[in-house]
Amino acid sequence: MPERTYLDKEMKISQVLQYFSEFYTNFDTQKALKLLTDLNLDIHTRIAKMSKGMQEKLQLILVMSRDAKLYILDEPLGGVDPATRDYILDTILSNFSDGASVLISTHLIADIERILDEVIFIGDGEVILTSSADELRNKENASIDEIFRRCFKC
Amino acid sequence: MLRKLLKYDLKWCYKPLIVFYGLALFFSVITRVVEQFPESVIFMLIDKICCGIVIVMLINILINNFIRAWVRFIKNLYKDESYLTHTLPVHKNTIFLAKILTAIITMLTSAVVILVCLVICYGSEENWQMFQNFMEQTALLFDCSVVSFVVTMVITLFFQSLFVIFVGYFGIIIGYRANQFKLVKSIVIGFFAYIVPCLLTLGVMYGIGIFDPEVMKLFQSVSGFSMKALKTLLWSGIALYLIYDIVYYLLGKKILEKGVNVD
Repeated sequence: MPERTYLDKEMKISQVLQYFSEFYTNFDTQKALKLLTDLNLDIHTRIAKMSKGMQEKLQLILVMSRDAKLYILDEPLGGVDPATRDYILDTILSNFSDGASVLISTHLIADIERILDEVIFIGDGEVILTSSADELRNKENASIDEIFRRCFKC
Repeated sequence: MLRKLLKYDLKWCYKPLIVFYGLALFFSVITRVVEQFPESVIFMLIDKICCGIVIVMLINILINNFIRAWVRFIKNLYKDESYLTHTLPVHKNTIFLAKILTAIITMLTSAVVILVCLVICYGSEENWQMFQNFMEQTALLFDCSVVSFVVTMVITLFFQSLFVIFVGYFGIIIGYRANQFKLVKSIVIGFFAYIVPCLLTLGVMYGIGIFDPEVMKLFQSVSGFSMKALKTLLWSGIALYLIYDIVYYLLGKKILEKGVNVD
């Protein structure tokens, strides 16, 4: 899932669901519909009329409704309010397929800290640090967010 | 997959085109109806206005047909939507082919609508007779039947229109490899991709003229040339445009395969 809205904004949600079900054999339309209902999103809404946060949620639903082995999410929390961030994290946690991995690229470390298993710090295109989240916390006696701030202090 | 891609591409391209088709047909019918009324200044004025609107609509259809195909290409392959396009379980060649077929299909339907509008507007026994006479005389000059002449003209127009589409796609493919001023570069490259083959065609025609004095006469005077020479030029033109179309298609395909520089 890229950071920006990759959907045709002239489309309605129902048309996007149709599009995904036609192209991706591993797309579960029922799961997507359920997630949309939980979110009170009308499938007849046009994407252009949705807020940035709603578009983010829709994109996440589309991604998480696929039965994949690896989910790559680029800044899934960027540009959304704190309440939506919680919804996004909960959706990620409760919807990825069994045995699958989720790779999240983000600058909002504090918001996703609670779901991290492994962390990789990247600076100037180079891997600076790789570690298990718990091990790193115990070793440094600080949160991942704090360690990140120390590591990349200007 | 090609069918699915085509479905969405056609839907997107036809969205505004259908409105223009409807308006063009509507005003063509109005023009025709107004023409039936007794002659008066008011009806003549309405007739002229409707005629003008029809012409504008037809030009609009023609231009929009190409523009819409190119815009879809840019949006789908290089803008935000490209993140979805390039992650679809579809080969890049299939995506490129879908874009080309979409442009061809919309081009053909637009041609049919334009033709129907013209028939509705100006179709009369007198005009039909005039058109028939013109076609018969021209076919006679070209030493072929009317049907062969029409088919040749349709093929020529088709390859030339296809050439314009390919030139646009080629300009976009090259222009969007850059990091800055992508659109400007696309337009400049598209312009040269159009001009160079045109000059090359002229050069080839001149080359033919060196061996065929009849063809050379076309370069040297405005009268006294033979229809045989024109026929030679017409067929050479068709062959050349076919070659350009194939070359631009293959080049575009090859460059796309190397990867795209999305925005």
